[in-house]
Amino acid sequence: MTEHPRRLDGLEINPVEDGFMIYQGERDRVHYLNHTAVLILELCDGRNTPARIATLLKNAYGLSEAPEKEVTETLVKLTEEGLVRHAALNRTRSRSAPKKRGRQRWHPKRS
Amino acid sequence: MAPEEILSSVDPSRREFLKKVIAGTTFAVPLMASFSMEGLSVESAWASNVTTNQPLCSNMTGSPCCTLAVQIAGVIGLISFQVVEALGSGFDGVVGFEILGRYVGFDGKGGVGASPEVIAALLGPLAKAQSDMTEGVRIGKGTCDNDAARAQFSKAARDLAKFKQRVIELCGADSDLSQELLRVADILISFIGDLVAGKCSGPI
Repeated sequence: MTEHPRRLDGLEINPVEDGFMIYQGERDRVHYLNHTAVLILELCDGRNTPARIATLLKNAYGLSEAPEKEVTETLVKLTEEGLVRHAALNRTRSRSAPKKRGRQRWHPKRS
Repeated sequence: MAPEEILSSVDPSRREFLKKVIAGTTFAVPLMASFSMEGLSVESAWASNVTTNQPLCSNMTGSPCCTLAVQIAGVIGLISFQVVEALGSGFDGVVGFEILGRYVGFDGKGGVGASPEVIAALLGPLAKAQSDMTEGVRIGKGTCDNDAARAQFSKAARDLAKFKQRVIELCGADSDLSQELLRVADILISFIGDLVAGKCSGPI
């Protein structure tokens, strides 16, 4: 089972000096994020895992190690603030499950 | 910075924005500060320690937002003083004092505290935050509710977020002192959130 964080749709991310501001009207919250935090948020597209995000940051910035701890902590904050949701996907079953559901729905067994 | 891999990993519709995010940047510790736009009650712990019903300058009249902004600026200055007083030993030799009415540790005299470099690193973002607040008042044209002033106040909130980050980096997150500084910074950020939202009805 792997978590695939996904940012909320429709977030308005506004650049300000030294970072970005997000106004979340429905929660009446304002968030300030620096560029790394916004990068992590942007990579939360429902496909990347936290480990993958850390690896992307490592490669992009030429780091010696993937910043997994920093990514995890940021994802926790983003989740707590409701900017990110976690979709749990199981890759080993994801290919077969739709077929199974399809068969059940469209080809029910005859008794 | 080699953004190709990271750009190819996101939806094409987000790539232009992502390019702007990563242009010319180096890795920095991710930083996020959130604050509510809801007004804090004056009964909050912070307010109970600093409440005043009088404007800071009684011979001046001003808008509620400008008054709140300048109060926040004043309180930031107070925190700066408290940081020096709590971590340094330059006043009466007693290291460790109260911050906002609460004892924060380090009882004993001299020898305990932080280096001047650490204290300076903590004071830096506080000074910027205070400067941003006063600049916001200056460009607020008497009301402090225009976009320019709000942007300036938002910068102050960011500086306070940096202050929090430095507290954690330099002092850890677990000490009484750190907890108190983080708590007060959070409350101030919340007040700035009120200010940015135009909710300036009550004094701190």
